[in-house]
Amino acid sequence: MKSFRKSTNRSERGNEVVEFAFVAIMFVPLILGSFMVGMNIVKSIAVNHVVRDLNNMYIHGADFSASTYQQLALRLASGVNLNAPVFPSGTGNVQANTGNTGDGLIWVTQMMYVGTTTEPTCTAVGSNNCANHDSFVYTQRIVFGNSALLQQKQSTLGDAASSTISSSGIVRNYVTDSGARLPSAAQADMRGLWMNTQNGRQPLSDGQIIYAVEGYFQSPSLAVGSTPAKGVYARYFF
Amino acid sequence: MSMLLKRKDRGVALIVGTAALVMIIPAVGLAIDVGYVYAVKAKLQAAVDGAALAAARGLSLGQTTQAQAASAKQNAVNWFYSNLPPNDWATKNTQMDTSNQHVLVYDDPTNPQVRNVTVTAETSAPTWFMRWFGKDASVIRATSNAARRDVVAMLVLDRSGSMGGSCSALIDAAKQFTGQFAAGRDQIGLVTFSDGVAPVIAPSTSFQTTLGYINAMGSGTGALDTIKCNGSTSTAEAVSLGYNELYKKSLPGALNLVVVETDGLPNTAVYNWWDGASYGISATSACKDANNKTRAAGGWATASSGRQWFGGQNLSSGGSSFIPNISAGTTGSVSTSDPPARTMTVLRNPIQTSHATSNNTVNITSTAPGCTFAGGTSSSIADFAWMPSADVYGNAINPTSAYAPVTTTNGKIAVTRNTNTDWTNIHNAALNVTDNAAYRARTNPTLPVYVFTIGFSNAVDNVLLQRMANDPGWLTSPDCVNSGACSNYADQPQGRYVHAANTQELMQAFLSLSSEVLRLSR
Repeated sequence: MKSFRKSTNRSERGNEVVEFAFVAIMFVPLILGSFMVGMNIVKSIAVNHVVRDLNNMYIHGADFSASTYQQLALRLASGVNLNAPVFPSGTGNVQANTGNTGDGLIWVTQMMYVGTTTEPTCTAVGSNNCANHDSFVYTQRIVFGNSALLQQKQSTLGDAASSTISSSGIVRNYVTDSGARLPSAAQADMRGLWMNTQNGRQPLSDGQIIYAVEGYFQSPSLAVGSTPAKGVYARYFF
Repeated sequence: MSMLLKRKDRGVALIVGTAALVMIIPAVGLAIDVGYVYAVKAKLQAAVDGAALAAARGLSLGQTTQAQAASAKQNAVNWFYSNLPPNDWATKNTQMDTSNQHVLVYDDPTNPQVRNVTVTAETSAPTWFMRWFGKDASVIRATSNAARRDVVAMLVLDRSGSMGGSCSALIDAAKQFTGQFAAGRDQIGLVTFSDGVAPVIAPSTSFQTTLGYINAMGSGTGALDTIKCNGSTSTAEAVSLGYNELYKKSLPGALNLVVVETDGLPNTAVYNWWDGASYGISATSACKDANNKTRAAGGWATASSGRQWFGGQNLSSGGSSFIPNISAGTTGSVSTSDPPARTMTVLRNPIQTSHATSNNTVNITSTAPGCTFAGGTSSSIADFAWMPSADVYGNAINPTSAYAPVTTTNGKIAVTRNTNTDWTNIHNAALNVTDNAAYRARTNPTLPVYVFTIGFSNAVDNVLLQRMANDPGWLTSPDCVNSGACSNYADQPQGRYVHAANTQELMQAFLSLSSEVLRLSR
């Protein structure tokens, strides 16, 4: 037994290490890759569920500019670490309640398609005043979460910064104020989605409303070195 | 032996490790493929959920139930593909169209006031590893159901004088509101109010013809177009009459609601001065009863001695009734049908909504046959000894958890003839009966309804309108926080209050409430 050990020690010393290294070359990327893909899939599923559920709440009347509903949203998304500042005492509604903690940012948007100048939405304000005819406009926009994530991801529906917007996110004068129009990139995106006739679709008619919730969640636990990990973005229209 | 082992074992770990990969890679691949399929399934399910909800919303579009079903199916397809476009997430062979196989619209078998939409779609999610074993894709199917309750709504619109400049905007906004609902299925009626309440139009499925409408399909004229704005603000009466129209319909399976729009404070209520034992006429009043006797001369002593003020106007509906549809039974009860005409000694009491040295008269009414009021043709609170504990619709002047403080004696307001005290009491009573009218509509055990409110201009009382709607969304607003008087009854229907500062916001407010109603109807 002693001689066996000696011979092993002498001529095969380090064999296991070398062999393990060869195997590890195959195993480690496989395990790491599986882990990364798996985590991203899990995160994607979780984010998709959160965004879908928030939109479900939104379309059933949840007012996310109010503290009560925002707290509900934070609880719903606690698994993906959504965070937003606590409302100061006595504060009613907050249109953009953002801080710099947490891993997520949520955009809640209500949009309307304004038809031609001869259609009711325009004629109600006078056709000559209807600056936003044939366009998608914001009618409500609420944002909450970690605004630092805007460096990684912007809302695909634009930021509504040019509109006149109340603390509860209601966009004023959305028919007459050109600032209420979705910016050109988002406008084109929405036209592509909603105004085409492929796959049996029909263009939206004047006054139809779309409820959209978008969510972006970063994955800091998957960051390698100074390279930030990609986050997960989900968007649903109800 | 040891040398043999040494040679034989050399590289075993490598071989075993490589052999293990043959097992491990498919296992890991299976996990990844299954995870991917689950991710696609989540996308598909969300797309189908969105399609079902949009389809339910589409049931409001169209002049006929067939047209509405077609709109629902089209909405389902539009929303589905906007959430899951073809080839998104490498999906293939996505199956979704307007056929009954994918979008089925049907009446609920247990509730005739409900229509259901069931949306089913399927797609194929690719596999990345399992295709090595002959499995190229996994077919995923998702189903979602949404229901839409029919809506039975009463529009209660303020046509008081202060609305004058905005009357046409109100008409357009209200027509936009009616345009959002499903003709032939939903039912909408109308009450407009100023000093009095007229007309009262019962909810019907032909509301777009009777009231008028504006929507993407077109527009039509009706009773809404005839609104003229002048007079005072008899909000409580209008809410009670509006609610009573819902009560008469008696469709608890539908979504019942009252939508109240006003631009000012309630300053009129309708009181019956007979309390079952005596009339509230002051001993100093020159007002004469049906036997031409003043109170001092022994008049006003029996129920039959009372006068029907506002002569020529009976209490039944169908005519030019000033206060139609008051129950023939106990004052304040709701009625299931229009009561017969009867005599009541009632007066409405328009009062000033602000109290100032030059503006502190408490008027009771303008005309009451047989009366020479202390104030001449402009009557005065001095003609009365007390005010009743409730208006003729049973709305209390000082209910539990009253909104505004009212000093009462045995439940009634004792007239002090101190103008400051009397104004405060009567003004607050008008606020309380309005608040109580909405409260009673929300809490009627047979037919509790939602109350939605729109406050137009900055002269409205946000807290009162929040209370009427029982809107939790306003609880953290400065108005609610500062007053501490907002209501939060989680066990009652919770409506919504929307404030509109100008005419364009008025239109938005009506549209926003219609969206809210359509949300609730699902």
